[in-house]
Amino acid sequence: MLETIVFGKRAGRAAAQYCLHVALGDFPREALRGEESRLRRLLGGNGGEKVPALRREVQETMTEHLGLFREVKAMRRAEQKIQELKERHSEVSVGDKSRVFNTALAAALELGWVLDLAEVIIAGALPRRESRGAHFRTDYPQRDDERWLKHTLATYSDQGPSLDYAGVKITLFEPMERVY
Amino acid sequence: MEAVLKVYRLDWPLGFPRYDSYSMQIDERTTVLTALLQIKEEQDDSLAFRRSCRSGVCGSCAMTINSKAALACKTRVMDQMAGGKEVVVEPLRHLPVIRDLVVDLRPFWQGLEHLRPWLVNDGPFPEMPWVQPLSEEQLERLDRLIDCNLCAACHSEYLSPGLDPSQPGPAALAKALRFILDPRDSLVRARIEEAVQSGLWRCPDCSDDLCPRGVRLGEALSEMRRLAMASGHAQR
Repeated sequence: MLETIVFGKRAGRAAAQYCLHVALGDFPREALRGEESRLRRLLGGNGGEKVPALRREVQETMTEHLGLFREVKAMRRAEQKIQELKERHSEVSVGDKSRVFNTALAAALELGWVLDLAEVIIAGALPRRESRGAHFRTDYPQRDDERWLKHTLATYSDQGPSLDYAGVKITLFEPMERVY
Repeated sequence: MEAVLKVYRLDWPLGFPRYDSYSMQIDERTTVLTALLQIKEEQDDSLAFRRSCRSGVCGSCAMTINSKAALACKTRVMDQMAGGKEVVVEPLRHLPVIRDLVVDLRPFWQGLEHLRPWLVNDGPFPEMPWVQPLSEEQLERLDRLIDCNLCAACHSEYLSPGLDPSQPGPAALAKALRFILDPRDSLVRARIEEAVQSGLWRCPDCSDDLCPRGVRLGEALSEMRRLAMASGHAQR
């Protein structure tokens, strides 16, 4: 938590400095249109999918299949389930129609982002055929530094997360076998 | 078992306040917060309230429950139902209501900010190592004041009509004391003066059970007044 305060202040200062030297860009009005229609759909609908039920399903799916013990078949099932939930989420609407402090609307939007994150987690976990930290696979229980000592970078694309990898910067601590 | 929650509702901007009754199944562990979340999920997702940690740490869910300000996540529904009565849930008092149980906390923040609730050390920057550990005794004095999570429950309870909600209240004064007692803070005298000017002597006495986190506000207020007298700021 101390890190958030220290780096928050540093980031804020740097952002302020940056603003002094950079002109305001053009506002992407097209992006607003997409958001407007999404909000209209979330607020306008009356039947369809409900947020609490979908949320419970993504929680259960990720806890069960991407939790403590991972293995390929379960992860592939989760991958399909998340795709299904994403489709169902595009049909979601909320009962609360208010424009003021609408927490039901916030929850609906956040569920969409949770589904995006679930998709990225699965996309990163499937190719990583090893175990490392929280990513523990019963089908690949050993750590594989030769092939997998690297960071996974995921970029958003219309076809889903696009993966790339970056090397790990090793300075003070050498990777060692965990024997405690 | 069955419970009935009677909840204050206010729609913005053209609504009139009303109470909606929700009946539901609860058990001995159900808190007011889990009950509200259940209502939101199963009966009425338009019910608006703040919440975050659900474990008594963040202070977001402070509200008035059966006429007393408390944290919803630390209040058990069954305990409030003694004698079979319904549980009345309302927003914190003396603050403008934004919607349902959500209030505008700005007057509370104003009072707090007025007393500079942060460490001020005007001295020269200390040499390495600059960690200045506190003694057990010093820590113990601060311990009872550090637990404040700015939930504003005390603010809701101590105010009465005629008192200004944006004036420093018990939470602000307790925070000021927290820094006065911290040997690393250099403002001591100035803080005492600011507290006196902001109504230290006009503030109504607080009981020690106002705070859902156990900060002893009555004790803090007395200590501030003792310090004020010791620095020559006797009651005006």
